[in-house]
Amino acid sequence: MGGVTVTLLGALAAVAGACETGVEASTLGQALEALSAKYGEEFSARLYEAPGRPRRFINIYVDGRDYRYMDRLDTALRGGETITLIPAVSGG
Amino acid sequence: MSRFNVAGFSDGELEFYSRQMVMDAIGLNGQRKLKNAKVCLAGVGGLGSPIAVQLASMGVGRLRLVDMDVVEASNLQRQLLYGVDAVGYPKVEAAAKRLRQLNPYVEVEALPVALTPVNAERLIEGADVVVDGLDRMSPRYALNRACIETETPYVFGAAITEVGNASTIIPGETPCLECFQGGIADEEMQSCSLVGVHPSIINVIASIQVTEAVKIILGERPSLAGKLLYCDLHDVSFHKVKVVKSDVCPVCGKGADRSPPALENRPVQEICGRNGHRVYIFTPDDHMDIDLLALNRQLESSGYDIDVKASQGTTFSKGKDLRASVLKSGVTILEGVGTVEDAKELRSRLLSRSL
Repeated sequence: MGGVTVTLLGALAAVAGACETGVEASTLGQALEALSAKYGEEFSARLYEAPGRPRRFINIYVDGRDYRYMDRLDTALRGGETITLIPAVSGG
Repeated sequence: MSRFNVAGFSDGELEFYSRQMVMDAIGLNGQRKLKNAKVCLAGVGGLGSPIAVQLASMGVGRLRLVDMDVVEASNLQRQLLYGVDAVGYPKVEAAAKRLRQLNPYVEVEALPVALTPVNAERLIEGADVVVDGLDRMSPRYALNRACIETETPYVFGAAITEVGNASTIIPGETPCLECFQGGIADEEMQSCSLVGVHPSIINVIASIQVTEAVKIILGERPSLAGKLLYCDLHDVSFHKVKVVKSDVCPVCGKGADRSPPALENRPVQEICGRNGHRVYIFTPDDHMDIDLLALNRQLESSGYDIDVKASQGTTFSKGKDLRASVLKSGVTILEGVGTVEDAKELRSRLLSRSL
């Protein structure tokens, strides 16, 4: 377990009232739960479509890598990583 | 007789581009590269309009425009290529006309077709760079795969409400689109008809995309290679997020252990409703070369009101509810026909004598 930096963008940042924060977690899933605990129900509702399942249109990167190509929510965190949550945009 | 005597450029061109040629970043050599470049612009709607205007006015020698849609009144708030007189016209036709007026020194190719997984590689063939003016993820995935397959740089852009994204994909070097934003269904995303879009974010993202495309043409490293830009005009904030190529990405990863998920190719689909009516769009993979004269005669004899007779398509209506467009490629947009079966039956009837 270690401290990780979390960058929030879009509606998640607006609800959290912050673009950057830090949490302690051993896995990505724990980090997201820590954020939900920190920022409350509205944040959690925007992040998750179901318990433990992040909304597909929220891109989640661990040091720039898409978590879908890692171990998803089981992705291990040693400490020092940057997790970025950024809502996907597709209009044009 | 030429006043300036610069090989490859008329005096008119030199004057036209003088305010950018004087910049160290472009100069005469850069202008030559722009003139010799070929860009495929997929979509000439919100993003595509300012992208097209800027690329044409900067002197990109050959522009290929791809779009399956016709101009609607609700487009005019942000799709600045078009005025009220263009409503009902195929977008690529109206766009090409305006761009040729803007800069007669560039060539514009107008393709009124849908970009699909089947035709994407053919549509981008020969392009030095592909620029994204699309409005949904599904054609973007087809475009991304075509660019990876053909090793063509792809400048991704997207915008909604007051926020936008951009990234530059260099095949073999940077993450591809599906490395950092893959597997999202169109139905999961917001559309501007429901949540709106501010014209300013469109123009900001489009301008950034043009800047990146021009850098590629000039032989420079694009600034958003391997980065995802997030822009929010609510507080005028810009964030560049590093994104990493995945070795196991099924589209571009060398270590991928599975094929990319198949992209759905739907020849007919229901799209966002208009004026309270259901709307269906038919998108053939190949250009059908519809005989528009024959179609127009048939429409008139069948009691339809023809609203626009264009070279690349016809827009017509009947009563208060039915409104439709048929493009020369065979793309057909039907509004106010009821079910998808009703839409198929009507299209079959309309096109039976025009093939």
